[in-house]
Parts: sequence; structure tokens; C-alpha cells
Amino acid sequence: MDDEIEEDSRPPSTRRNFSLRNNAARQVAINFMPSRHLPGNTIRIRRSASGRDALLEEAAAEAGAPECAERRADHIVREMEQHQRLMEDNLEAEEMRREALRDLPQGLTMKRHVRAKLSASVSLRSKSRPLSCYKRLKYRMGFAWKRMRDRFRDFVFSVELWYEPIRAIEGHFGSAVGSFFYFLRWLFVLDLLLAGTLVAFVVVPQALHDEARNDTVRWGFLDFVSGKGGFTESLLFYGHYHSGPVSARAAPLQYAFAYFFTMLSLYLLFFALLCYRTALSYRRNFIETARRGGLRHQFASRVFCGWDFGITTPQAQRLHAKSIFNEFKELLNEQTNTAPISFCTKLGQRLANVVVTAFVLAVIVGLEYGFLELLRHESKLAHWEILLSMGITVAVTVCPLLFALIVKLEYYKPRTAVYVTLARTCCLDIGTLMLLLYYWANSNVDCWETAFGQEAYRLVLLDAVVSLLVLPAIEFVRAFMFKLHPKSTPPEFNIAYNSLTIIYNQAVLWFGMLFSPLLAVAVALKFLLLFYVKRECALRACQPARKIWRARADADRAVHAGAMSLFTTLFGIGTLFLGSSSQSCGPFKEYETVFAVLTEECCGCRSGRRARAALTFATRPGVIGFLALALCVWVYYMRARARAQHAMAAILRRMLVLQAKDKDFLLNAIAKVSNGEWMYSPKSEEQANSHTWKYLNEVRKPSNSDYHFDASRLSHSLLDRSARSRPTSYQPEVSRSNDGDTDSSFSWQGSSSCLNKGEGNGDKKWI
Amino acid sequence: MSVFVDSSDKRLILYCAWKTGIMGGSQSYPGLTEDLLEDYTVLTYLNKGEILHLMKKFYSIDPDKVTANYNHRFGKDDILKAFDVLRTNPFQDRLFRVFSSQNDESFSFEDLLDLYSAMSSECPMEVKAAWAFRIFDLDEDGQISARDISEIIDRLTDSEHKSHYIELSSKKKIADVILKEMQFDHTGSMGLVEFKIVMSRIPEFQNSFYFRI
Repeated sequence: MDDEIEEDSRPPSTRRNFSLRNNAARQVAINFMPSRHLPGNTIRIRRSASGRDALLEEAAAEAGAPECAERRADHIVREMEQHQRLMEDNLEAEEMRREALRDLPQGLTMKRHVRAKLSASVSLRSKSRPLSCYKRLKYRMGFAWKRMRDRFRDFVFSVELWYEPIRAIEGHFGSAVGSFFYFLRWLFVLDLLLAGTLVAFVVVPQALHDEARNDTVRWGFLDFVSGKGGFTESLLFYGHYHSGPVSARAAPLQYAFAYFFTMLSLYLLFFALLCYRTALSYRRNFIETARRGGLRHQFASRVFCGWDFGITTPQAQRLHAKSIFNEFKELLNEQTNTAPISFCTKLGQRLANVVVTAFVLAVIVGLEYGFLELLRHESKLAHWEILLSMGITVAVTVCPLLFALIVKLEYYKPRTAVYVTLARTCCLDIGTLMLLLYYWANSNVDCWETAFGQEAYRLVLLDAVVSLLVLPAIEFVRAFMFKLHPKSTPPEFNIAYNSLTIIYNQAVLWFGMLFSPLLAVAVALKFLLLFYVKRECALRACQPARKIWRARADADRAVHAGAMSLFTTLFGIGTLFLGSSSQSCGPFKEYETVFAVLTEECCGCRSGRRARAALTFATRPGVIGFLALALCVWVYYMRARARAQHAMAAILRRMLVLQAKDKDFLLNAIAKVSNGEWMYSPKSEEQANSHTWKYLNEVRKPSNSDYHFDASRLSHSLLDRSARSRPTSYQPEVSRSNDGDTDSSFSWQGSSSCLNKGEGNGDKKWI
Repeated sequence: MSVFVDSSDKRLILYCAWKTGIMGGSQSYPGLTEDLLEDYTVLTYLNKGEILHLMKKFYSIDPDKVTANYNHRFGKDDILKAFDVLRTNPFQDRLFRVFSSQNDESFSFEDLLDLYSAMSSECPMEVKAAWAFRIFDLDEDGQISARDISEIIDRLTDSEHKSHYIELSSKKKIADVILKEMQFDHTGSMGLVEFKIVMSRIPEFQNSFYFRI
């Protein structure tokens, strides 16, 4: 490796040839080994293997493109023909062939070539049995389904929202900022769905009912901000919604049912959706990639995944190159400065973390307490509640920035620091919302649901002012200042802070949706505007970040936070609302508890005692606690299994390395044989086995008897197969040219012919 | 800073044009028959709308030449003018080499489809890794060696600027670390199989090796 990277005295062309030949020879030898010729268990393995061979051949023989292409196509066809299932003459096999072809890392011309050959070969082999009626139906249905899916994808592509803007942003800032906009778009579509469903099933029936009653609402600006006054008795809030049957021209509708089941299904549906995404990202980032230490493949990920292929503007390219350079520098520094940290400094760092965390928690608790006191405070000011909501909005806007500053005092890595800030801010946001819900639920207001709905409405409205007007204005001012004084720091697009804003909005929506159905429409509208505002901000005011952000992980973290907020919402509503809704207003005023809708009306449990008993039993804390405990045990069990599998994977990886060492030894031996300088000695043969065998013995010792790895059978089968699969390739003239002591089943002829093509006659000496 | 037009409505029009084209209308591209389009959707990870969008861009480079010969190969400069994603890429020459079916640094429409299919988000990780391997294998010896890695680093850090140039010893160190982490058969360099294994462990790979049409 050393002579490859440093300039040496040989002219570059010979050096290149030399290393190429060496490497290629080695690679051919490795490909020749039995393990590379095992019949693949799955097509996928086979597929990659065939791709590999074709690639290698190409590397060996670059010149003479047409014949080479022909040969390669033949090669691929041969590989595929070996699969019985792949070559059957039915639609299923056709589908499999199609998939296999698509996954082939080759050009289209090649693929079409291969396909023509394959279909010819298939029709030759076909037994042309008539299909049964059932099978034909199955295929036809499968085909129709596929057709429909393709159509749908085409349609989605043609109406995809904000396609070009996001692409422009990705081109300018890289995929990390792009992923923020994807997240925003995802939430927008989500809220649009939410709003659509709510309007259709909750708002419209009530509006029709109102039309019959003919009420008028007076509008005033401060009322509009606070949501009080004439707005209290409007479609906006829970209290206005009617209980009992709504009859507007059409058939009567049990309104309580409509409200209850719409809300229930929406909450559960979106909770399931968020949980699914959270689990998916968790699996992708932690389990599949097995990055527990967080240190593996740091350089590899920078070198091979460092460049964002989507970048289009020269300015972004320059900045990106610079940031990659900085990252390399930092990583190299880390590598060299791995001096062991003394115990005292470590203790000091931990202590600092604990102190700062305690301080932040104290600030959060203090703020919450302050809010509670202010809520209890009976003020004579006319619009006290507006001021209060303003205070909350300001706190929620400023605190993340404060936390981001505070975290610099601690000894976290930059990435961890972002997550810590995110967690703290989520704590604050969710805590505040929970506090508001708790306060209003326990207040003695007539209709506390409406009051809480008004609170959520105010928060959304005031936050709209902040995030749509104030923050962009600040960014533009900073950009202007940067233009005047190029030495000052330009505003960067702060992904973490921006995702926090939208998560906060979403959290308010989760909390307020039940008590103010039209809030979903408002938040959807706000996200729509936010997209355009943020786009302008990003493209006109912001500079690409100096640090590279890893796109996927951050968006995933945001989804986790969203799922968390929804979970607390469900918890809060379950404990505070379902048990004790107010009796004076809203669709559920005829029922003792909201839950009674389900128990009394739906299951007809008014009469059936047994069903009611079952339901009350199922909702007892003991039962729920037991279920939660069972879930915990199950999670723990799965985690233990995952760990065991990690350990097993580590062992297998070590075995792989040991086998590689064996192979290395064998290759050296072969090289010696071919040079005629090898002498048989029993000692070296012992060594050939020693690595693997030593290891296997170690593993199979009684003390390690957990791992029953039947190595003897494995190696026998390997040997058998190698002996069976290559009996004919023995070429007497080659062995004559060597010293004759080689294994008779081992020959270089097959592989070296491939080399001869590329290297010309330079190989003769080598053979 | 680019001024752009929201082209989603344009694409909608294109889609409708395609629809009418199928129904027997006049708007279609010579050479791109319905059968061929079907073939492309089967063999690539792109869907019809995307393929037509690409065709439109490709056609707009020089309509006459495409009309005369469907398999016309446009040179590097022409392609770069129409497809801005390729313009800033440090591996531009490799992309043109790997995806050009005749190895002449120019693209026919099918070559272009190959490129976009490999870069699409539908493309599975394994296939992407196989293409990426060919791109990163700068000296085309079927192995990613220390020399390849050090040149990749040079390209990534835009080393024409003298200010950010990573010294030889550091590059060597990086290459050492990478190869030590992932080579299993001790060839002193990394083959396709090893490369695929490593890429499957880096979740960012699929995000970075991707661009949109």
C-alpha cells in the first residue's frame, strides 16, 4: 500500500501495470476459491455475484468493447440460466427475471441484450403447459395491481407538491436542509388530511345545523386574537358543538358519535403512523447499522458519502468542499489527540453536565411555575389572557436559543449537543402544554374545554406572527448587515431551530385539535405559508451551513419528538378529558363521562351487565399496568435478543478475518509455488489450518458451549464441493511447468486466460 | 441564487400531453415508442412521467439530431448545459466514463436513463453501491486502493485551492484507517463485496448518492 500512495522512482505506467496485475491476479485467485462458488441461497446473492464477475471481467479486459459486451451478456445469461426457478415459463418467473435484470448494475443496452437472450432461452425450455384457470386469474389480478400501482406513482410524480422548490433548495444547501423541507411538507399533507376529515365529519354537520338556527356572530379584532367574545359561540370551539341528534334536511346524525369516533380514529391513526415512522428510523439508524459506539466508519462515511450528489450551484459546491475539508481536519485531530483523559477531568466534565442539566431543568420548572401563578392571578386587565399567551410564545421562542447557548458550556460533541437541546426544548414545550391542559381541566370555569381551545388558538395565532414575520425579518436584517459588513457572521439556515418550531406547532395542534377542530385548518394554512416564507429566507438570506449535517438522522429525530408529543397528548386527554368532561357544554354533555358514549350507546351496555363488567375490568388501572409491564418485558426480551445477535455477528466477523488470514497465507504459498521456490514442509501446512482451527477450538471449548458451530461439517462440505465442482479444470501442461506438487484440483488456467486478455504477454513470467 | 419557476404545473401539462399521446394524440417524441417506454419502466427504477421528463430535457438539447437519430450521442458539454446537477460534481469525469455505454464521454438517451435510474431514490442500496464502486474505483482495476482513496479526498476537498489541501501523510492515514476497517481478504485494497458491506452500514449513503431529475 505504501508504494502505491507515495511517488516512487518507477515510471507511473509500469507501476500502474504492476499493481493492477498484482491486484487483479489476487482477486482472480480469490474468486477462484470455493466460497465464491457456493450456490447462492437467494437470488440476491447470486445477482451480486454475477454482477461482480462481469465487473471483474470488464476490469481485466477493457479493450475490444463489442466482443467484450457480447461475452459479458453471455456470462450473465449463463449465470441466470443456472436458476431453475428463474427460468420457468410463467409470469411469476417472468417477474423475478424482470427484478433480477433491473437490479443488475449494468447499462440499459446490456440489460436489453440479456433480456432478449433470456427470453429466447426460456421459450426453448418451456414445456408449454396450459395454465389453470385459477392461476390465470391470479396472474391477471397481480398484473392489474402492479399496473395500478405504477399509474398511481406516475400520478403522484405529476402532482408532487413543491417539487421544483425543494430541488432548488437541495441544490443550494444539500440534502440536510432539503430533508427539513420534506418534513415540513409531510406535516403539511398530514394536517391537510386531518383538516379535511374534521371539516367533513365534525364541522359541516354542525354548520348545517347552525344554518337552521340562524345565529349571527359579531367580529372584533381583539376578540379575533383572544378567541373570546363572539367567537366563543362559534364553530371554532368545543363548547359550541351540539349534543344529541343533528337534523339538517338530511337524515339525523347522532352528533356525539360523530365527534367521538372522528377524533378517536384520527388520534389513533396518526399515532400509529408516527409510531411506525419512529420504529422504522430507529431500526435504520441503530439496529441495522449497528453503530453503537458511534465511531465506526467515520472516515469511510466522509470519503464515500461525503459528497452530496444533488448539489448544483458553484457557490454551494465551494462551501461543501470547504466543510468536508474541515471535517477531515477535525477527525484527524481527534485521531491524533487520543490521549487518555484523566479521571479528574472526566469527573469534572460529568459534573459540569449534571450541573448544567439541573440548571436547565430548574429553569423549565421555574417557568412552568411562573405560568401557573400567572394563570391563577386574577387580573383586572381586559385582555389578560392575550398577554399571558404572548408570554408563553416568547418563552417558547427564546428558550431554545438560550438552551443552545447553554449547551456550549458542556462537554458534548456537536451532534449530541443538538440532540440534548432538542430534548430540553421538547421538555419545555410539552410541559407547558400539559400544564395548560391540567390548569384548565381543574379550573372551575363553566366550559373548560372551550377555554383550553381558546388558549391553543391564541398560541397558534401568536406563534404565526413570530415564525412568519418576526424571525424571517431578523434573518433578512442579518443578511443585510452581512452585505454591508462582510466580516460579520452570515445567517445560516438553522435546521434544528426550524424543526423545533414546526414540532411545537404540531404539538399545539395535537393538544388543541379535540377542543377546537378548526385548528387543524389553521395549522395546515400556517405550514403552507411557512413553506414559502422559509424558502425565500433560505434562498435569499441564508448561507449554506459551515458544518455538514447528516440529513436523515435529524429528520428522524424530529419525527421522534412529534411522536413523543402525540403520546403525551393522548395521555393527557385520556386522564383529564375522558374521565371528567364538563357537563354544561359540548357534544358530550348528556353523558356522565365521555367514555360513556362507548359503554352506554355503542355496545348497548346499558342493558348488558356482563359486557359492562368486562369493559370496566379492562379499563382498571391494574389491568392496564399489567399490560404495560408485559410490554416492557417483551421489549426487554427483544433487546436481549438483539444484543445476542450483535455478539454473534461480532464472532462471525472475527472468523471472517481469520479466514482471510488463511487465505492470505494460501495465496502466498501459491505465489511461491508458481515461482518454484516452495518446499514442502509439514510445519507450514499445520499453519495453514491453524488460524481457523485454533479459533474454532476456542469457540467450541466446553466453557463456550453456547455456540454450537458445527465447523467440521462446514469445512468438509466446503472441501467436498471444491473437489466436485472443479474436477475437469485440471490442465496437465500447467502442472508440468510448475514443480508438480500442487493439488490436482487446482488450476490457474481458467482464471489466467482472463488476465492474458488485458495484460498481453507480460504475464508469462508470472505464470 | 437562482430564480425558478414552480414547474409542477408544467409537469402536469406534460403528463396530460403524454396521456393524450397514448390516446392517439400528436405530442410524442420520435423514436420513443410506447413499447420502448414500457421497456424502460421495466428495466429502470424510473416511472413513465420521469422518463418523459428526461426525454423532454434531452430532446431540447437539439431536437433535429434526436429526430434524425434516436440513439444520437451528445457530447459532454451539451449534456452539462442541460443537466445542471452534473456540472458541479467532483466525480463528473467518472460519471461520464462509467455511465457512457461506448466509453466515449458522451451520453445517448439510454445512458442518461441509466444514470438517473442509479441515482433515483427507488434504487436499492446494493445496486447503488455497485455503481458507486465503479465511480470511486478511479484507476479501474476492480479494487479501491489507498491511491484511489487519496485521490477521492483530493477531489472532495477541491484541492485546486491551495488553502485546503490535506497533506500526503494525513491522506495516507485516512486510507489506512478505512482499509483496515473494511478489508476482509487482505488484498491491501477493497473489493466490491467489502464496499457493499460497508455501505450497508452507513445510513447516509443512500441519501448522498442520489439526485432528483
